[in-house]
Amino acid sequence: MDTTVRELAGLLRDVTGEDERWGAAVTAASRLEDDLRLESVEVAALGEALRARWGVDLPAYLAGLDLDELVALTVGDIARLVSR
Amino acid sequence: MSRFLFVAPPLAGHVYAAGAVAAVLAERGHEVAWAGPETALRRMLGDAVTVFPTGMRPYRGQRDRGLRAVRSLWDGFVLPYARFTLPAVEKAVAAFAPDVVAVDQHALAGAVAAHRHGVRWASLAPQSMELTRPFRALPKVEEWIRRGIAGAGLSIGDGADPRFSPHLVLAFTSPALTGAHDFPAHYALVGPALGARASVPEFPWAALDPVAAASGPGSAATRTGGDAPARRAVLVTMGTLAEDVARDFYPRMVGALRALEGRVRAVVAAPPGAVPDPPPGTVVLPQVPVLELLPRLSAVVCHAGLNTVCEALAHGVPLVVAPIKHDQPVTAAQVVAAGAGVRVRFGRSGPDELAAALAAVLDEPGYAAAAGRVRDSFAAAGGAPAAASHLEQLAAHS
Repeated sequence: MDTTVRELAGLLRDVTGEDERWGAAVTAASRLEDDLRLESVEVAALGEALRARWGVDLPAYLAGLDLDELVALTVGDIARLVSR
Repeated sequence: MSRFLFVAPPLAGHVYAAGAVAAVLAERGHEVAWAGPETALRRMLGDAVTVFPTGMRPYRGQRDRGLRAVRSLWDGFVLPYARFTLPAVEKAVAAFAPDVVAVDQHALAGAVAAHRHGVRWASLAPQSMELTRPFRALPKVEEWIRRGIAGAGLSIGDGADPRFSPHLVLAFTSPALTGAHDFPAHYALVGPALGARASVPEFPWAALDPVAAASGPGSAATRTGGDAPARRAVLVTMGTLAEDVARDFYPRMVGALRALEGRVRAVVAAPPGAVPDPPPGTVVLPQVPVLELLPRLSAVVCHAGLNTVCEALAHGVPLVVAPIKHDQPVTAAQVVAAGAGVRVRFGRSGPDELAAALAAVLDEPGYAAAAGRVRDSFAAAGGAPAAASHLEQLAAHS
């Protein structure tokens, strides 16, 4: 799980263009919206990266979530998605 | 002659578009009145209009972004505002006896009141948000909005959605911007409705072109223009709701303007304290006369609010768009798809990225050419006079 989170932190750095320190601060509890401030273009880019790396369908996963779950979505949730 | 009641929330981008349509109807001899917060409406529409006051609800959560902003827009503003204003809007419908109620998509009380009184109503869509289903990929978010409307007692008979009139939906955009969509036959995409504003902010026009202001034509100062291309005028405006969240954007934007110093002359619509150390010659003012400025601008940097985007494109001015929330990412994607601008990231793009985006729309002629194509499609769509004609037809059928 922790290895997956670190790998996701790297992908998140790629899609945001943020630096190493930002990436190091990403944890399983980091929320995509409130903490990492991902913008919609970055979520789309993350979806592409997840498909390429693990073959998972992020848009289909997001389509199953309600508004509160989407606002609360964390890096840990994405790690569980790619690990299942 | 017919009677038209406009119901709008007190937000500039909504009221100005509806106001331009209302002004055309009044010029054609129709009776026009408004239902909404009186002070705010009069500030934007002037003292001559008839207003049935509804009172006001504060909108909390203006600092929210992303999907949190969707939640606070509906839970914190649209639904409580509709519930609070409904009794007053119903009284306005009863007192004014309109033939048609023109209802902003974020002033749902107008649709409910019109329906209860058996009056035909039209939806005004001044945003991209409710027009092209931006949440079609997130069905539970769409469902949450529908449930919220029903739960607030704002459903209207036969299951119609109070955001979408079954008679007429007027959208202030055009297919050149929305892209190809299968809109129903009662949707009219009329392009932006730009009209005279009740008040035009003062502006130091000489600051835009100090050489010409300081010397007449043919003077030594203007003759030196040959070896140094004139600085091109750029407007930076992040919207009336964004002052808090734009606080960390302006320093990065100032960095971009410094990188382009000598090439651009910027006008920034912001409180001067929010824009630290802009390059010399930059004009920073809380309010600027956007429509008067646009004919002299080479580019606009904005938050991709549909109103600002359409005003710029109606003048063929290309854009750098940094969407913040709500329908802005949708509109920004439309600008990019139309080829009329470059999208940057409001929260993250650094000075270099912002400067590169601005230089691109200034230097690469494709952006201005695409903006010109959108301008032509807007002109063909007819604007406020076309919207007024659609409302007249609806009144004639009632």
